[in-house]
Amino acid sequence: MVSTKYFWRICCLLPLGLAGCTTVPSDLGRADVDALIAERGWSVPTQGPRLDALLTEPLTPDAAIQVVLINNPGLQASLARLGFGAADVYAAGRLSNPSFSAGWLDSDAVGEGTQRTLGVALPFADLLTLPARAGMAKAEFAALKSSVAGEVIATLTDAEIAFYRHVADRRVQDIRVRRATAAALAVELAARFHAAGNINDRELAEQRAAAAEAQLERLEGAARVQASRARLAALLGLSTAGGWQVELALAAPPEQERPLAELEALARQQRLDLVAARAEADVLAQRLGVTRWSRWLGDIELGYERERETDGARLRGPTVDLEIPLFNQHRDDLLVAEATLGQAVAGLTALTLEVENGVRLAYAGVNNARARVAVYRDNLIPAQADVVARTQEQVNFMLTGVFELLDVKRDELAAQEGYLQSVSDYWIARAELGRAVGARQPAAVGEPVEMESPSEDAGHEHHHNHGGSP
Amino acid sequence: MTSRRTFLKGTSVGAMVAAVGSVSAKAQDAPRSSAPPSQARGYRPVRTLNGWTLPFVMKNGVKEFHLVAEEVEHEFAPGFTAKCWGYNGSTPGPTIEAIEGDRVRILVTNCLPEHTTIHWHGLLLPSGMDGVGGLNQPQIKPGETFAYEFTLKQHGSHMYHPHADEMTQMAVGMMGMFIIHPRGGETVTIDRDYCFLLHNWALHPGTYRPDPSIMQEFDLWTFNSKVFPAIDPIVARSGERVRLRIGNLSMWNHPIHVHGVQYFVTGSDGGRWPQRQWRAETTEIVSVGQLRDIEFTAVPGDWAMHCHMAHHTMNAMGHGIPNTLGVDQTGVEAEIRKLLPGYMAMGEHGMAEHQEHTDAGHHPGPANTIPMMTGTGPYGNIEMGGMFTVVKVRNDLGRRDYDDPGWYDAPKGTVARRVSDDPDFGNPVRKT
Repeated sequence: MVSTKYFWRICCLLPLGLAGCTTVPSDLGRADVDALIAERGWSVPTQGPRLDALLTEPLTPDAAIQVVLINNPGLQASLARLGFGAADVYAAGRLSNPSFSAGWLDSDAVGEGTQRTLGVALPFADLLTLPARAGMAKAEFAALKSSVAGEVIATLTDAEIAFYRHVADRRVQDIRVRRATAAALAVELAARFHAAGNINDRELAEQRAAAAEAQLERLEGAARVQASRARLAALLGLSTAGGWQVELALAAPPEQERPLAELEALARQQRLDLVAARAEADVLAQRLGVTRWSRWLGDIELGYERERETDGARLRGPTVDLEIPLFNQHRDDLLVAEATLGQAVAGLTALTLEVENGVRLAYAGVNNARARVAVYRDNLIPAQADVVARTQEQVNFMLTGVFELLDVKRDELAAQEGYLQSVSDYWIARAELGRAVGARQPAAVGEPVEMESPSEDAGHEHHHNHGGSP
Repeated sequence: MTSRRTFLKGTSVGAMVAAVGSVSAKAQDAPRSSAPPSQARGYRPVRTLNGWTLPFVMKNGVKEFHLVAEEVEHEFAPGFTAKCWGYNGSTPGPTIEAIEGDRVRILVTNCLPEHTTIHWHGLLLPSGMDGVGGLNQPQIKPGETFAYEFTLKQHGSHMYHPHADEMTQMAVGMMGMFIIHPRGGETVTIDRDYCFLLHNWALHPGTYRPDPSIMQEFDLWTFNSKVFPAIDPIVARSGERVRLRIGNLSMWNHPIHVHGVQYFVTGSDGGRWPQRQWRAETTEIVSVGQLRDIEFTAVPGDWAMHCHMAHHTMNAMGHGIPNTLGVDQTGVEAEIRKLLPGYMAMGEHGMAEHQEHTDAGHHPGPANTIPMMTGTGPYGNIEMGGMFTVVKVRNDLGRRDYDDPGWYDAPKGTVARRVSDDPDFGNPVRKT
């Protein structure tokens, strides 16, 4: 029987062929995720250095990123999500299993034998929607990979920001220590002036108050250093108790930024949440298309039955089970699919606007920080250095006193603190711009920002007894 | 409008050159009066310290002088300059000299950016010539030239200065002296006749223009707009009769002390007083707006002559800075130097060490700032500034020699000497 022969072919070959198209990748899509991340400017270690090798040196921003990729527990959780997606792909590429039925029915008629029925049935609607479902599952898996890569990049960006915050806190703290030292020296001097009978109790108390405030500022700074180290440690997946260190260099901002239009275009291509949302909408559009025709199918079951009648006659042949869409045309499925697509398209529109505005805001943030760096570098820092130098000249000519000199030195240190803060603000803003654009901004190549710090050997006293003997 | 340059070129260069005579190599301001040519003019001309006398032109029996009010680049001491206002290129302006009974016409050209006038301080003249802007005359606007003309009814030492925007114009140096010699000569002959004006300046350390808003806390104190050691010495031959005519256009009184002599206060802008009114003094306060003549017979030696307000004999000083006297900064100084490598503790044992630092130059001061203490004499640092100069009297000086004769070579046995360097030397009586 020709029809029977074809039926078996359809039943056996088609599912196998389709299942072959939807193989689950052996790495569960990890390589694709790595590629997405690498395409966005983050270096993914293929055969990278081991963790303990990375931690022997003070961490640079790039080394810290490597540590995050290797060691951040949250990233492992994100990557684990790929397994769910792979499971969906697997499931979508498979038909429901065929069912087998058998019956042994004894007749009570005399002389009649047992009716034996053997049947096998295959849910045929599944077979019809299989290619569409497999395609959608792949698209959803792609969306998932984008989403996972996006999560990884968000974590890397967080780590980069945490890194700069910690470096800034450390550098600022060095300055606060010096400010506190200047205030402590003013108190020490004031005590000498007071002991000599040259200043009154009030003036001494004022110096003590100023020094105490500087101490508090220093302690508050120490707490900030601890907090930012803890935040960075969490992202690095390391213990704060460990001996790992960060490199304290802060590079000056590069000469130029990329043009805004370029960054906006880049964001439209590169933002992984946008890519994922677009893919998701595509999937839902496909699903709607499939629902439009598949809802008429209802449940279709194709089967084959072989029956041995009680009289010994043998019956065999295909069976079909069809749902008649008389009372229910599964319009609910259609409505759900339409609504879901509508939601996704609206979400995509909102996200697109958010991305565009986000890029502009982040770009403005970068430019603002950069402008502040320039004001510090070109104006405030040299001006404060001048104030100190000119005050020193006035002290040399006995036109003003040592307390004012220490005061202006503390002001200069405060300006240096602001400068370092603005440089780290710049790098943080740049990391945020990378987040907004969806791609890491090319790495810094500026000169490191250094603050003068007089050498210890300048501290020898060459003059203390000068006026004593001719 | 006549610029200062064309004015000098056109009308008076020749006259000035004639008047300059022998210019000392140390001269700071180019034109200055020559050694007096005896009584050739009918009077012995004054010598304006670091200054000069304005030549005149006779026109129909009137002595015509021409003053130009203008901005000048003034040097208080070598290397320390400021944008000041003055007359004919200098502050103070040139000294006007004439004789009692002369008819004088003084042209005043205003090359300043604002109006001005000149008040002839102490002169007896018609009200309309008295120079108070708005009261006696319209102010002289920028670019205008006014003529003052009057007959000199008196003799004596006088001054001129603006009576328009006085706070500004006097604060930045507009002033000059007006000397009227008695017709018929002096009753007691004067051999050397010096004049100078006392003034104060708010030239804050590091700035280049005097600040007219300061009323008391001045930075510089000057004789004829110079500070020691840039002030000319008073040079005389032993036994000569020396007169100093000292006017005060500053905002403080100045007790002027001359070492080595008892001088007589002999006159003022009221003229030379009758001899019975002369007073023997060694210090005379020349009050604000006042003028005093003092006379003495020169005694050989180098003698200080200065305002006795101690801070008026200092250059730029800090006002109310922390008092470091007796403050031991050992240890702290080294720590401070770690933050401020240029820091040096000073003043623990007094300020005398200061001149050594500033002279050595290893701890530079603000730009355009004259150190508080300057001057080096034959025995060490003089540690002075401001209103301080030296009366240098020598036996062997020519009658017309006004050049600085150098340091006094004291006769053997007449200089204070060290007899011990042991602090416990001798048995001084102390109050118990």
